[in-house]
Amino acid sequence: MIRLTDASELLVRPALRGSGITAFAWDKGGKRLAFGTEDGAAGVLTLPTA
Amino acid sequence: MNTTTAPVSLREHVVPVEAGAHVVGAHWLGSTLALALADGRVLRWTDSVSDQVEAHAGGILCACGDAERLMTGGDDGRVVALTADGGPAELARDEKRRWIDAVTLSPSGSLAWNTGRTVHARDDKGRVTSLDLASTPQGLVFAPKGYRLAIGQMNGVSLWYPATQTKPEFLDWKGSHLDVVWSPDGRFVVSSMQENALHGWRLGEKPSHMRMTGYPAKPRSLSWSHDGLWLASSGADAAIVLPGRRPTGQGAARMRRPPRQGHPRRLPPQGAGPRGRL
Repeated sequence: MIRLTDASELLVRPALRGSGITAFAWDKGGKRLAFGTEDGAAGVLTLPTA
Repeated sequence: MNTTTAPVSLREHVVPVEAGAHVVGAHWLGSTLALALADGRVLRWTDSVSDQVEAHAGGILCACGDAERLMTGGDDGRVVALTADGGPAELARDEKRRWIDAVTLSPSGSLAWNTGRTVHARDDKGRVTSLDLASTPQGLVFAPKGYRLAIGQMNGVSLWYPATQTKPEFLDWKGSHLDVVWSPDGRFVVSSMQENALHGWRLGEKPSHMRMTGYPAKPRSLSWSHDGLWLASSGADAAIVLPGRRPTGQGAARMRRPPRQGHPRRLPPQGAGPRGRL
């Protein structure tokens, strides 16, 4: 994940062989990011509040 | 210059979800996450509580959605809609069980899908119209406003008004066009191409071309930033972010700015990265 304002890089999920990201979506409020992979693993990131 | 410090990790803020099959699409229905899976199931997840629905008799090939529903197309020739709590509702069924490769929804609730070389559009009142094409359609996307559909296909993109009998406008550019996106202001259509490039058109009386070539892989995933000023693309080790157009003023200048790469530690060698302008 990249923050557009300063191009800082944020790791949500490390790269795993055979488990590439195939889908992801932000919720409407932009607080949660869901992702899914080719081997059936998925997850939900909830952005920490500063 | 950017320094090469390790990225900040957000991994501890990730809750794992076991989907159990290739995830074709992820979509939020309010606070419920819907995952469309390649084995025909849809997994619904709400704050770590999940259930699953057998949406298709075969596999799910494509998915899209709006605030209330997830829409999926399958190799059983069906288009199915699913809400956060209800059962699956069949929106269309192809008698010959031809695969549904592409589905899309408009902001006003119209939907479109394909069966083979035919594209079908259903308006918000349920009227269906169909259009036969010379080649199998790839990406489908509705204009941000109005009942108009862009269809990525061989050698160009068709712009079709499904409510009228008029022939679609054809934006031609040689090659195979895959995914299509429409800018939030409605003025630009951009397609990803088989030959690792993006191609864009500024719509108007005489559409003008925009080219973006040199991706190491196909830029299959495209997304506009929330303000519509940037188009992010995959297809390279970096996320390529293209400056879009300001709604007013300074537009032309911004469009000529070089693309921006959002992966400071892995910049491709000089000259190897995508180049061009949108």
